[in-house]
Amino acid sequence: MSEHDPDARGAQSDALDAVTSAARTAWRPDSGEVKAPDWEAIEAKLFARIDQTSLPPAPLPDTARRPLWLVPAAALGIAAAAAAVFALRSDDTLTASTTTPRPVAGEIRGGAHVRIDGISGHAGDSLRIGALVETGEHEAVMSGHRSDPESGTTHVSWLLEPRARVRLQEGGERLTLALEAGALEADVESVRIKEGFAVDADTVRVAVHGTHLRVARQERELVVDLTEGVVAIGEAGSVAPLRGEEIKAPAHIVVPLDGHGHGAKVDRSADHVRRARALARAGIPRASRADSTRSGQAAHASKEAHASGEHGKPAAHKRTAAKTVAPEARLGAAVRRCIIEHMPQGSVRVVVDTSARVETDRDGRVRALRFNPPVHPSAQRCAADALRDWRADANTTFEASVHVEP
Amino acid sequence: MAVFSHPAFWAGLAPTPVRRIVHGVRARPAEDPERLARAARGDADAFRAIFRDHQNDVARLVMRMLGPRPDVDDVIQEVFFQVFRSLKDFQGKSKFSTWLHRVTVNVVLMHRRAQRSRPMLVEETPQDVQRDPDECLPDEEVARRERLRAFQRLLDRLPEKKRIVFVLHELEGLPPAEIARIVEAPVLTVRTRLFYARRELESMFADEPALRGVSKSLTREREAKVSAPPSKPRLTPVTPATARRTAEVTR
Repeated sequence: MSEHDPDARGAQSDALDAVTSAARTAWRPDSGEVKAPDWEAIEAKLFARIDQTSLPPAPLPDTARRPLWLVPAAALGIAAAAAAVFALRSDDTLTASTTTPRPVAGEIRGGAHVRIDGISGHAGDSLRIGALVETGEHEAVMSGHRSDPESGTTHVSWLLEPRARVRLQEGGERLTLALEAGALEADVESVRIKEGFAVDADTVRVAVHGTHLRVARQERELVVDLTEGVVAIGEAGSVAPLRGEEIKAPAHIVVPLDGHGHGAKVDRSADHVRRARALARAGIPRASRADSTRSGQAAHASKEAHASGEHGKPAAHKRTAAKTVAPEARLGAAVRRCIIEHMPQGSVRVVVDTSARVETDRDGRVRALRFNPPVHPSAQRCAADALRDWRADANTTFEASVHVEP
Repeated sequence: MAVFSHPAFWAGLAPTPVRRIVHGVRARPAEDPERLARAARGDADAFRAIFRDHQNDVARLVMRMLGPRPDVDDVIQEVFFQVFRSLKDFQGKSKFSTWLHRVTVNVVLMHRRAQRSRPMLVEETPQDVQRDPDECLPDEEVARRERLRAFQRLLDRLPEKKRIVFVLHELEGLPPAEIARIVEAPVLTVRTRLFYARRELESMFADEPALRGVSKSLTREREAKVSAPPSKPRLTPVTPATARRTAEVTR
């Protein structure tokens, strides 16, 4: 059949018309051939999101006390929002991310139902300055970094708890999160920058040195549980380091949201401090230089080292160990973790036996992941997300058998 | 360019009413500007009415652009969320349906890009799992479903811009002028993309055994007609036989 043969060409065209016609009939929500959308669920979720975004904005600090630099910052924010809207209206491919050249300040590391500026985000997606990050019914884990050529770099891992909302603020060398709703827990490693990370909530700032803390926004107060390190409490929006009292761990701190950092009540009894969560269990290792450089196997194996309970050991030790971890073992650990996370809760004892096979492409990235037999779709998706940044030998296949039982 | 003089470039591109009916896109009365304005001001009831009026249109386009996938519901929800966020910027310079199509296309593209960077999850059916008796289908039905799956794979291989115009024109039945407004490209560009989309799809048929069969049988049919006695009139491209064959494929 030649390309120039009119009969052959005509037959191909007829065949295309015929198949197109079949597809036109079948690919409709009311055809009965494809799964019809769950309109009730879509409508409920949609209007819940709309309700959430329609909430009145959190009150800003008193204008008279607001520093002058906030005015250009607000203008920048409006310009960024306008650029995003323009992208939606005029760009036929809606490349919002390419039309809003805001600096990247972090990325999503794991978790489900994360939204970045209202759009579903996935592990590996970048977080840019100005982004509004929201969680749904599940928590999500993120990492961030800010660098200064003279002072060094701050690495932060933070866990955004369910139904929480933060905005990444422009804060120079300091990574600043504006906590608009809910709570977050952060693990901060600051090399030399004092107050390299801060959480603002209304008029209050919690400026953080290397530390581990949880910050929860309540109706009228901000509650800080400091399990490691040092924080300073002061007024939100400040450029310079805070001059307020430095508080050392352990401490349970309650600050009024409208007090501009004043009126903090500090309870230093370790019994009253909420216990720190191991962020590694939620899918990330403690923030470290190795993480941010994302140096292939070292970083990935670091994840596994944490997953296997080595949280807290020096990063150098984990990197050494990484070289000895076989890809099959890493695959097995990742899959097992996902199956455990997504194991149905109830009185029935569930035992899972499956094998996961991975194929890599020419760059060593994971190209395909197969489960035989299949496991719960959420566990499969979790595993696919976990393997997203893996690097292994190019064009290879490896397999891990996984057995999980309570 | 030779493409412009090629009859296939112009063939079948006229937005005739018949074509629109065949494609299942019925003319919809213009969206009520008052209701749009209320929705843009945040009136949830007005927006709910808009959602219910247009949900099937959006779902159909999403399904045709993405294929049958488990995340279609999420994408539909995302489309309407973006519509809600951007409604205040809709100035009524184009039809609301055109604007809605544009938002839908953009959301689907963003979704595809996000998905592309994730490892592909391949689901395997274990060999020892017994088939559900309800899934035992007649051979022709199995073959038809396989043809559709194969066609979906071919569409996925098409470059993005060509796939968009192909879906909007051939599956949604939109005329090139309206597609040009949706993708914000000249009409001539849309026609060119459509022409090459068809050419590429036709040439890719050979890669899919399920579709190669359709093409071969139609070729044999054409050859048989050409070698038929000269007393018979020359067959036009759309013959009852071709139509019957098309109906078989469609059924």
